[in-house]
Amino acid sequence: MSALDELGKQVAREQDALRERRSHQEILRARVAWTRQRPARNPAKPRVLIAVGVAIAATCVVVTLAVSRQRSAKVPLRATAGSHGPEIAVGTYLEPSGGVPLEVAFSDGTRFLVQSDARARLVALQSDGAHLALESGEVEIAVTRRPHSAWQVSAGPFAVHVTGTRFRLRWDPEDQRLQVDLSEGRVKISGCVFDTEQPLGEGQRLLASCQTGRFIVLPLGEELPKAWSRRPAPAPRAAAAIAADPPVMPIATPDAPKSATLPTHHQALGEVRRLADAGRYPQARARARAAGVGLLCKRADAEGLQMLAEVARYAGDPSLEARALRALRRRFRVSGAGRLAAFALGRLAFDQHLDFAEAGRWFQIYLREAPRGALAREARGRRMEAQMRAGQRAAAKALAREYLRRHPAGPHATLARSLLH
Amino acid sequence: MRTTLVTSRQTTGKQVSYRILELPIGPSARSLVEALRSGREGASTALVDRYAKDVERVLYRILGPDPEIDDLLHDVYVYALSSLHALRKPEALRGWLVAIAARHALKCIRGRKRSRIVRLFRSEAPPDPEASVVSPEVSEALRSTYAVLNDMRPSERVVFALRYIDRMELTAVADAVGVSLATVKRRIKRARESFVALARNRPALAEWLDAGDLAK
Repeated sequence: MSALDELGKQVAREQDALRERRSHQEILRARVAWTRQRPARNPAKPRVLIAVGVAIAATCVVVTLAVSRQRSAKVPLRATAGSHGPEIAVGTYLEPSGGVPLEVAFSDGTRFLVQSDARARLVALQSDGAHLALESGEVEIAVTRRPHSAWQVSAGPFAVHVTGTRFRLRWDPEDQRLQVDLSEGRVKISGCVFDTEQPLGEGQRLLASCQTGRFIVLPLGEELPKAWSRRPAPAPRAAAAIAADPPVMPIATPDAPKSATLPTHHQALGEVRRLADAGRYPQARARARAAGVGLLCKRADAEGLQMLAEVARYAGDPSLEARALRALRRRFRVSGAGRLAAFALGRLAFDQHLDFAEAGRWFQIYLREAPRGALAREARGRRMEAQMRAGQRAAAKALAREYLRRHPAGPHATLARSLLH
Repeated sequence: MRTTLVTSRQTTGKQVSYRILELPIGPSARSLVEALRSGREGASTALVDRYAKDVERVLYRILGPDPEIDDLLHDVYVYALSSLHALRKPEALRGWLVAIAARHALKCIRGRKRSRIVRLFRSEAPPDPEASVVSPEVSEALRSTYAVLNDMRPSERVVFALRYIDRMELTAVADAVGVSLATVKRRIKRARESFVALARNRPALAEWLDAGDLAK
């Protein structure tokens, strides 16, 4: 260590001692809480604030806060259980009991009715809409029509994008079947069997099956054609709409996708990459699943598998991410990508599954294979934290000593010191 | 995980119950960013709880024990909370916050330099840069280090502080200041040379510097 390094270390030590004596976090917490609780600005009537020329520091802070709020004056909608029930936060599972549907009321007048057999989760709330994930069962949706709104209901690999409509959606996770009955308005459905977004118009019903790779559109109230009920012969999955007896509607419309053969894994990966580059991760994930995850894991090269894992991560699909990473480990273990996959599996186990023992095992594997790798410091720190969270305090302390010896100013140094003292 | 049993009266007049399960914000940066973007209650507090120490540490390293740290810390958070749409990779949340902190510190340093120049033009006595290190118990080494840093070019001061005081890896320094690895290496080299040249006039720092450094 050079003299400058020693000086820097001493300065940092003194600063940390000063920081310990003064809690900036309490002040910050109070200020941030005040900032967030300020009355929401009405987006329809933005107020203009004029910054005073030469301002004192406090005024500059107030102006900065106001301008920041102005710029981001997109207050998320509020969701409640019924019109006057408790607020429903993002991440909440909705599970009606007592055989009675649960109504979710949004502050713009939109209503979701989660039926008694259903289980759903509120994934996101924005200023212009929300995202509900239907895990099983049926939900009725009535979306208030507004000029710019973005509502989404996802069901398995399907996503229904809504602007201003009334419709009913049923998802069967066992059979991987989706049913959408549209009473009013228009929606677009993507995922699984669809190459591109499939529009659905007022008075139409869509049935889609991931297992068979088929979908059908027919008027509400019409009976299903026999061909739909018949089990197809085993064949590669294809986005083919089946022919139906007249007077069934739009299977043969220009909007309906043509029958397609299953793309090769190269083609599929190219399409996944194109969608991922455009930031359309849910669509990229759906494309990958439609092509067959098993096939991709078996045939894709290391770079393709890394991309698949990344798409899965950003699309919020930990099981797909795990499959891609395990394929990397299985097929490319001695490569850089294979070693990084060990770290990524550790992170997945830690962050997503809270399986700290498993996480620690993967970080240990990474360190064994790449003791001086790019993520060695992170792996040591996370392994120590995983041991601590798994209740293995003695092992965590030993790792803490090693961590401080190697990385005294690393991001996990504070944790390591707290373990030892 | 919080479970709430809710009862409410339906329009039929019958009282029914729902089970609402509320999950805590997940430990990953991604979960936190999602919670922040959707305006979930408690998300901004979680952002403070999880990352304020890192942000504060970076500000300290660059500015020293400065009376404006609280205000700057708040500025960093206000900026971050209103700029979440710009964060392309949620997993990089910590590095992104550190970069915002480094930029705010740099802006603060540049602003002070300009104020000093204005005061000099007005023939006022220049402020004592060492007075910003307010606490009486700090060592002379700490005081002198920041006095020297005050005289350095702001961009070199920032990389010097991150590299030698915060002990950041080169790639992390490059990410924090938004330049390439090659550029940051050149800048750190120049910063080191500037620091050593200025430190020659500081007896408190002489014992820390190599004889080789002082002889150059």
